[in-house]
Amino acid sequence: MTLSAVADAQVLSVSMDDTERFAVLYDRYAGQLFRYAYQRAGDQAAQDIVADTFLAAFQQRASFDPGRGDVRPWLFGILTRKLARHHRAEKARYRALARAASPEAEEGPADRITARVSAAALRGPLARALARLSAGDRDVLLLIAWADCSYEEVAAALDIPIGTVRSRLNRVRRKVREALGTDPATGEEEAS
Amino acid sequence: MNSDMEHVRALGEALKPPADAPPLALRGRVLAGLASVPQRTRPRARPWTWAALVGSAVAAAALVVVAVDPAIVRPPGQDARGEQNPVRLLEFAADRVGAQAGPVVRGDQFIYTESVALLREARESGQGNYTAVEELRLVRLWLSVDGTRDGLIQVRPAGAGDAAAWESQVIAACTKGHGCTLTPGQATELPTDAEGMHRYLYRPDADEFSEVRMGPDERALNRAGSVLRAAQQAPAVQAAVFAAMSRIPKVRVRPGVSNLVDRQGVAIAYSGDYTQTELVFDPDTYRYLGVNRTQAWLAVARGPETLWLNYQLALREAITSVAVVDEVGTV
Repeated sequence: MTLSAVADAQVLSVSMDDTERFAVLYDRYAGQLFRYAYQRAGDQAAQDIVADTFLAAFQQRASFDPGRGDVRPWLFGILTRKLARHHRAEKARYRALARAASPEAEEGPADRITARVSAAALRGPLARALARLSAGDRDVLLLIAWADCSYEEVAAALDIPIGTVRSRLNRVRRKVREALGTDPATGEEEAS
Repeated sequence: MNSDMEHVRALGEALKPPADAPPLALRGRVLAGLASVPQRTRPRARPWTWAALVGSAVAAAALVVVAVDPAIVRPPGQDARGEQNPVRLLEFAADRVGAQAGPVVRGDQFIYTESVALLREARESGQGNYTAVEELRLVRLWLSVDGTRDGLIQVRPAGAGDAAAWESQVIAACTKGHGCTLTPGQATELPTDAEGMHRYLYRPDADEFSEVRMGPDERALNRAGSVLRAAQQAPAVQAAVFAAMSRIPKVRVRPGVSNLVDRQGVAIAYSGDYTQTELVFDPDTYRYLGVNRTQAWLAVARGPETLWLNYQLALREAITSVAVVDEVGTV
């Protein structure tokens, strides 16, 4: 456990008697959580999700066991469960993105234009792929890609074995590569 | 951009919020939401209880003892047994104890006391209900003589056997310039005259018993017990305490009172609005034997507020051993 994790656990413990100390955790993690929720569900839903996450964390703080992991994945785990209630809004967001995604002509150096057009062109199929993924696969992929969680943190957040994290990630990356039109077998393993 | 993961991350970048920080209003919304959550209502008995045992003894640990002869000097032909007048009894006790000599104690040493303490407290049993719980504990306390060294308090259940672990808590030293404020009597010497001790017992700071409601006279008497507890090797300080106690209104003499280990003595008692206290002394030597106290109010944290709840809590402590030692942890 890192020093910051120990400090987090102490803040949680102190907040049992001193509610205001819980604000320390908000200030430390709200930015990461809000960004991730915003990416997945949009502005208004993200605010609701983050508020619900901290409220739930506050109510459950007595049950937090520092021996089972750090506060950060614990918070992302709660947020993921709150996100599940907004799955329709999330899928609608990806579908809207897929419809809107179309490369636009840009002026500038040819290589940069090519790269931008290429990336923009792939957003549509990628967004459609995200909308089609199962919730469990999407959670693993996006916690790693968007929340910068390690495999261990994802396992702790979703309360699944780390082997399941790896197998889900391999499966979902094959689907992503298929959606992008690349060879599903060519994806390299990323370090955790 | 070749990796599928890089494409996913790029999409995440495109979807991120326009500002790095969440909306300011969200923080207010979250914190307001926390305030509306029904709080666990639990008496914070553990933290204050054992600290209360020490009480101002921590501040009172700074003793300078100058006497050299440990022999007890008793004025011949005098005996205050049966004395019911508290002022006369306390003045007699002050004279008798003040005539004693204590051992020479260096500033770098520690006053070690061993005691047995019984606590009856209310504990949360769910649904906002409280159940009375009784604990009998052994307490070992090392207090720095000059207050500039860390002391230690150790507690464990009585009857748990020698193999049972002690729950330890360091009593931080107070050295000038290190985040604490030196007060009169701390790290220097406690008053050895009645007037000075009276001021010390009635000092306005509320640095102790913050979770127990007390009036000024009740607090002064409880501080007197704490000073006596820490000053058992300092007869001049004890004499000053007796003299100062004689000026506390409404104190009573209560003969035939037993401490927790059934050592019978004479008690100086006070029944206040919030606490009932008996400080028990040996009827011959006026050595401090312990305290019996009940208190009716307890502070409970509820969100940012403090509520005063009506609980009958009882604390009895019997001093069983006193010594001067060179190091913390030495018994």
